[in-house]
Amino acid sequence: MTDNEFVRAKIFRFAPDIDDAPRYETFEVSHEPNMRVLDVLERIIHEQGQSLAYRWFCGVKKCGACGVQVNGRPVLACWEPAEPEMVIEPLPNHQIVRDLVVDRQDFDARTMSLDPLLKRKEPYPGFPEPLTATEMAPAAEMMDCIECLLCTSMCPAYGEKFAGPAALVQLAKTALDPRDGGPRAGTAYEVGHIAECVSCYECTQACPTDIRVLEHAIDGLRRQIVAQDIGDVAHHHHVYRDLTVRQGLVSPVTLMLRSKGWRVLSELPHAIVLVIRGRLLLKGLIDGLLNRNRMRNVEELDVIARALQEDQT
Amino acid sequence: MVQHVRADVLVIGGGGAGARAALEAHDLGLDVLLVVKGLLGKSGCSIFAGSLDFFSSESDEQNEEAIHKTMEFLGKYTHYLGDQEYLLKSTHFHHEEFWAWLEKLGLYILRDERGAIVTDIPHKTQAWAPKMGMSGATLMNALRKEVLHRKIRLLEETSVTALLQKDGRVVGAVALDFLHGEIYVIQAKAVVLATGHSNHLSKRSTGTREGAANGWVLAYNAGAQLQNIEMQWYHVSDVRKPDAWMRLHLYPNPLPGTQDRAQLFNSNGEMFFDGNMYPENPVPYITQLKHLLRQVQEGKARFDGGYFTSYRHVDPEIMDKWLHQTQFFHKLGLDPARDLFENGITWHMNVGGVRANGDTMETDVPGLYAAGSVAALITGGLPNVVYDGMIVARHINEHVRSQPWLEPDSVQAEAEVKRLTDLFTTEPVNGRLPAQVKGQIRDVMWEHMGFLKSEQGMQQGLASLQRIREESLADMRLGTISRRYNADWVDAVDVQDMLDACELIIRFSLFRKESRGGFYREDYPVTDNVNWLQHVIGSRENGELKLSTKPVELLYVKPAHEIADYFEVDY
Amino acid sequence: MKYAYYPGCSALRSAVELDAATRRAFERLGIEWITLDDAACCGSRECGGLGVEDEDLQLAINARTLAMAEQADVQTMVNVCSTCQLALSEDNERLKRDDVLRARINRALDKVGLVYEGNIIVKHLLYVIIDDIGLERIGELVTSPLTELRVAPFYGCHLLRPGNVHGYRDDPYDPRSLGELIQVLGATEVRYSGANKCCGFHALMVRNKPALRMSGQHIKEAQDEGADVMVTPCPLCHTMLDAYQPRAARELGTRLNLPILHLPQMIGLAIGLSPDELMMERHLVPTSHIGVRARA
Repeated sequence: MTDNEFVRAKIFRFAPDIDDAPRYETFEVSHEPNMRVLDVLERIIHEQGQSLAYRWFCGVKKCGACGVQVNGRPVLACWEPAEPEMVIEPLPNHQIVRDLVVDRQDFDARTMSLDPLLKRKEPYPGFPEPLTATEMAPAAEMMDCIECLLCTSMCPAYGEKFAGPAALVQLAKTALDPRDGGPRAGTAYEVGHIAECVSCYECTQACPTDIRVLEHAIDGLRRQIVAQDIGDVAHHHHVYRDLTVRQGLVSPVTLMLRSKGWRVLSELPHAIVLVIRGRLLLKGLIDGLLNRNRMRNVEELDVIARALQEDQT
Repeated sequence: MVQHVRADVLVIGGGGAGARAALEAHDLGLDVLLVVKGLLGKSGCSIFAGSLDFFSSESDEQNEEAIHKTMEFLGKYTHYLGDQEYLLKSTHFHHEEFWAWLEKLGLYILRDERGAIVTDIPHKTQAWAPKMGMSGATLMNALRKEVLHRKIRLLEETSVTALLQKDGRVVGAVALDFLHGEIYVIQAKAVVLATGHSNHLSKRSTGTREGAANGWVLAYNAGAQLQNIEMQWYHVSDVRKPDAWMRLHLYPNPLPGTQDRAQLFNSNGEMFFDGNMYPENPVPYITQLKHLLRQVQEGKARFDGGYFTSYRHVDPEIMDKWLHQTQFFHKLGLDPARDLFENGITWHMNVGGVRANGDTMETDVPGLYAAGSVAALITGGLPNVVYDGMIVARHINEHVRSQPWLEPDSVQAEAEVKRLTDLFTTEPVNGRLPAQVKGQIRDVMWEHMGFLKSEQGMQQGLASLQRIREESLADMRLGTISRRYNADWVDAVDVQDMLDACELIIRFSLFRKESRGGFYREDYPVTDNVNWLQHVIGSRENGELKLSTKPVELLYVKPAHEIADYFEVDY
Repeated sequence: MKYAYYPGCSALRSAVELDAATRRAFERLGIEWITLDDAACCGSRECGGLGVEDEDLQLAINARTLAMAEQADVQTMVNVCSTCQLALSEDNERLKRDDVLRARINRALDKVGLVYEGNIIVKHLLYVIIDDIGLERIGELVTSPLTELRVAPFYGCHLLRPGNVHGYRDDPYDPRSLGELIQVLGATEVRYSGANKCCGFHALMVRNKPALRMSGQHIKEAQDEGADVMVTPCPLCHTMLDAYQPRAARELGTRLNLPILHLPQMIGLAIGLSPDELMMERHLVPTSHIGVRARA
């Protein structure tokens, strides 16, 4: 695009206290090289005298306040370049205050319910405390989080229970901190409902500061849950590892039976339907129940597992 | 729509000073109400602190030496207008308590693989928590959580529009919650003004979106003294374009793991500034400005562009690992190893503000305190503002807690509520939005109250502001009467405050007939330590600004020159 | 071109129709392959996956698979599952990049006589079709264009995200490749917002409600947009969308009746394979009318 061309922005408008329904309004502003989405919004107000509600403070990716959806993608308005045609909407998954401004207080409440402040294992020894970059690296990654809420806005599991990725990143910040001794795994499981995460990577994909939200924050908390044997999540992981080594190709029947224990009875009606309809072969069901599925050279996996363990010691 | 609330302490502003004051007061058992115009921890100046001045003393002797060095530095940093008794105390805090306080909060002061604190090498003057450019933001994130954790009463996206008084004493305030469209009448035994720098008065500024110099105006209207507000200083190495990135600092401070610093090049491709020209000064902001001024005078740069930052000489690994700024190069397809980034100056910090007592943070109006950058004690700086917050809370706890609440003057409160509700209109239909009028004001200030000032230019500025008062205010209206996040409403209040603040800063500037630090007048281009080592003080008397001077007390450090050409001095 | 074919757990256990359809499609497309049926589970992503409990073990098991593929003297290992694609390609890249890690893993593989060299590409069947064979060539091989069918693509999130792991072959927010293939096969692509979203499978074992809700919503949306059938390159998604469809319907309190095809089944129909050969009767939601219409 050259100068003197225009940017067309179709923007979501809704003032819940005075509008019956949301609508979209289209604005055209002059384009400038390297313009950001935020610059477009500012021009709409200053050049066109159109009042539009959107949040921003710093303009330089520090405050995390300017998250919006542009053409279906969650972005920071200050960071992303303006595109010639844009549909600009508020971040999903959050209550709309007005136009592009969404409520952040729910996020605050969820984050603080996880009690994320550092709880030292040992009393603070005085400055400078003994720390290395290597041991702080996992927590330092979380410190890049500016709480912009892009990850949570894209999370399909976010709802009544699941705290959402952003709140869990704040928890992971201390959970992964070697100085911390708080009950992070238990909190993630019981208060954060981390078991509801479907591991879809929307959070990692959305993060503008390149935090690997799923792989490092959420999986980091999961690792602690597994190590501390908490709940059905830990149990499921132990079963899965065991079955992988025993079977090689994991049978869903065996997996379900051993992971759920007696709760598998609730699956029985479904299993019966599947058998009747031919989706699940009776032979397969029985093999699964009797743990008869095995890959041809499955014992190699055990050899490998042992070799890895020995190598560590 | 109008709610009445009461607190022991009303803290206005949620940066390093305000947040610390609220936390300290709460922990001392006071009932606190913290009112933040933006979002606590996400708006204001503190989030921009990029690097922290560091000291590694291994003995009391080394510490004393380091303190002496810091005081020398602070003398220059405040152009010798800082309160030196206060500077010594805040320096002690900075050296002896601040770092432990940061770490105890859970901040991570950047380390290397061996566990040593990463500093610039070899001078060890800077450290980071944990990235250059993000130290302030990380601290404010932690303080936000500390406030929420204690369930301290917090009103965000709420702007205090007037202080309330009773018999001259400040006893409360009126505030506009523009997130919900509600007005608060607040009663408090003590009011702490911690509104930060009042720098978003010009088109190019590091002030965040909501900044409008309300702090100065609130204090001035309550009868408090303002001091040295003309000493507006400009950050040189900010970014020219895109407009959204105006606040991106490409700091002249030494970088982590090296002594290299960002360099400045003019339009002819000549390097005209490297902080290492002043190796004793890790924060050479003013010398940077003076070097730029030379380039502008020679036609080799402008204030809004035509000069460039280079990191081409810096190890790319350092750029990638430890700097917040590097990603902005990459986002534009630039490579800091090869490419330059065009700069422009911005209104940034200011040693002036509300005159306050350096021991207690009291202003000369009973009941009103000023803490942090809004006070006239120092140019700013995270450790200092945090110190202020701590001090003011302790003082209030000792002296104010047992006092009774006083009823604000009801006429005054009602008048303010009426003023706010009168602004809540979308008439005249084709009128200007307050945001547009703010833009007009900022354009005037960029034009007439930039770094290069003159009597004529400033008088023109006053005239232009007067024209805005006369013409633009009449047809200013809100864009909506929704009560939800009505930024227009708070912008309308801000327009008034900005006009007042701009007029004040121009009048203070006309009064000081010399150049000093970030304050430069073409018509008085000397730094005059004989006649002008003075505080310029102004207050409201009979509705008019009355200006006077007061000699500066040079208790510990003194300037080297008596009268010297502006370019000769290094502060 | 010859490929190593990694069927993975689903194709060899719960979704044998996927394996059958894949092989028949390979034959018809002229692809030469050697099956790695002694290759173990990729680690999956259930509650995060095997890597959460035992990161090294997952890497080693995948290295074993990759080493077996390397032994087959091929350039590319093809898989038929979105999660397998993510897990294997990600682990492959990690092992290639990290010398210390690779050495440690190879010490363990040595005990079973294998070595991972790091010279294999991991590619999902969808991209073998589109990139290696090419849409033009596919078009030439179509004998029974699916002209009567309106097909909703469901990618399976692990095929798309994280974008940088997949080299942004498809835009995670607006993927196109499966839709292009659908059109080349003669069908009409149904565009709907759920195409790039998650079916919820990986939380199914511990918390089934989110998965049922999510899958149900995507099916409903596709249905409402007029889809006759949904196609997915991931058998885990297929399980959620097909085997759990009635339960999803109950969870949402709505009627759902959308047949779900595996990717090679859709391709197979267009290149002249019969529903029987593609084992389409093995699905829970009946597909028979799809087979009929495809023939028409």
